[in-house]
Amino acid sequence: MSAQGTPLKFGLDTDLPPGLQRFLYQLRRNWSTLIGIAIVLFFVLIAIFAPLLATHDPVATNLDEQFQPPSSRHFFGTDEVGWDIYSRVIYATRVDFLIAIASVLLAIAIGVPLGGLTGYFSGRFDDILMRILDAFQAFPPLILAMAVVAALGRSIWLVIAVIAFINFPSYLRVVRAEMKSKKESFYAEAARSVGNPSHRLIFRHLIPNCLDPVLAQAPLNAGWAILVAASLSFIGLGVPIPTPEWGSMINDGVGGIVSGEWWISFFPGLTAMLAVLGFNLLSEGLRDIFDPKRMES
Amino acid sequence: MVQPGRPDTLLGVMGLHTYFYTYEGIVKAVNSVSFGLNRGEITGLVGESGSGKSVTAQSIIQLVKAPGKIVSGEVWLDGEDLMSFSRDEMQAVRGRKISMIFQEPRAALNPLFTVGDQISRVIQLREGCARSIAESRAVEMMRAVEIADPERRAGAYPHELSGGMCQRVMVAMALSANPLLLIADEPTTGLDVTVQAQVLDLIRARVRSAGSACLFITHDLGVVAELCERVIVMYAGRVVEQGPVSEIFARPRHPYTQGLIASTLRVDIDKPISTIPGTVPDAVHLPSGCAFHPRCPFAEDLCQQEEPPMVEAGQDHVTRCHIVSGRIKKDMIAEAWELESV
Repeated sequence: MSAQGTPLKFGLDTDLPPGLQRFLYQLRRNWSTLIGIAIVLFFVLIAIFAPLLATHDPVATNLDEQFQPPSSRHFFGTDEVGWDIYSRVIYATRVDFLIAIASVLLAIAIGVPLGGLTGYFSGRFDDILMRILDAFQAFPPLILAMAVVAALGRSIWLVIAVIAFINFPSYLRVVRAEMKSKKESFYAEAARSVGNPSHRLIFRHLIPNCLDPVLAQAPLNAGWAILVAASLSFIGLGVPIPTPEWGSMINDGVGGIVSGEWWISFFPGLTAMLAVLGFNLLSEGLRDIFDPKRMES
Repeated sequence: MVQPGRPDTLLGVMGLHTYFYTYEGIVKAVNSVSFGLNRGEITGLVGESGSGKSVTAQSIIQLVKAPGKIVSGEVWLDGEDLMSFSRDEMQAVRGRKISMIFQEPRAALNPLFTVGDQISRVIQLREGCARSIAESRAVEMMRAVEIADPERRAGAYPHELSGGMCQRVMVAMALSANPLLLIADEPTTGLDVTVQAQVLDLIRARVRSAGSACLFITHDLGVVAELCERVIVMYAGRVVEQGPVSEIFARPRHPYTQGLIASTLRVDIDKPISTIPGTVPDAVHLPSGCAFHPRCPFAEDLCQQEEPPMVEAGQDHVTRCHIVSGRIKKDMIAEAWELESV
């Protein structure tokens, strides 16, 4: 705590708004969140500045430079058609982050309003919807994703839609659970008593109050979406070649691992792992910030 | 009983029955309740927890929570039969003609909006005026309820304000709608005595000046004596006694009312507080006859067999008791309660 009785400013030199100050204060107490944010930001910057960072055209084959090991010319080496792994890893960030973020936003857009409505009205509709979701979630998600993509064809947008579809029940459930307690709150009753119609009560007053767990869960799901996208591509059902994507790049290098060209799979694998780790740390930290009861020390 | 036709009657409630259909059985939370509220007057609604006070209020604004249902009854507000209103029409009544102040003020404010925002929304909803006008009116309202530095406080979130401050915000919100009827459900529970007095003053001043009516729900008889013109005493879903405060405090006729008054703390008389023996009866299995008879020191066989009707007990003063109606010949001695004292 500050020594000379000066007001505590969370150790920050600040004219910042108090809400932001509090946020920054909590970040400082939580190194894993900071690392998570740093990693995610790092990847976002890479995705934005990909054309500046890449040294080669990610889809230009060069048969003169097959299977080059990492060097100053090809930082991460090249693969069997001479694609520059480094440039492709950079450009793949765009694809994989697009999948991660778009699928999470889509899942939230479906799950949150539906969870709010079903939690608020309960009753028969709620029972039926939840049993359908139970049945649906009892199905292995990756197999479901494979089946859908195999049936409907390969494209980024389909991968996004499938991942969002797998993820939305988890948002629906958390919002529904929150709604069930929040709708009994005094402020809900107060809002009703001043003549707010149900839709206004649900969407303006209650759903915003149910979003804490959603915000904590979103990065976790984003990380998971990268894994699913990579898994789909790995088995050849994800983003079609030649679009650079971490999973399909790992797949390209599978043969090389045995014959000594380890770099083809290694760098995209490492990058994907780092991205997922970043999202997971971020999620952990957000959960602590939104739920101080769970914060340790 | 107050007739709805009386010119100064703003709200008339007649034969209101609100039941809760639970697994254990039917709970008659509000059982044949009738009363009237006059313009410019504050009427206290008292009773122990579970006597049906809050459900009466919820029934008036038709926001009874499931499994509760308004079974029958009439609610007239300013010459209009609210029971005949559609859902949309009722929504327009809430917040415009009838406002509520809740207990636990901080819990009754939405934690995600600033208090200024919440007040101005109510104003906007009622007046349909521009946002900026509503906002400046909200600040005026906050000043009117004596919130210091209202311009700054309008930007505060509920968790940044004290309980008393939040309650004043609630009052400001309820009054900003200029309601015909103000329902205050234990608005001073959990507040400091000084803040409590300020909040009561505010409510009284507004009701008097606006000529609206106020139903003040409380279990604090001291507050009723201080604030209200009339009082309604409820027990187990029924009105057991009602009349002017001066009359009822001087000559309580129902044994339950007598017990309530005897059990309030008096600093001027040095004697232990008396209590009413027993507890509020199980709502599903109410005692036969007069629901109060198991706890009543004057109870006779008739009280067990027959429910007493509402009878005149004085000027504008009615009660349900076989002794008052003369069916049982007996003197109710106020001292009976002191014999029960702990």
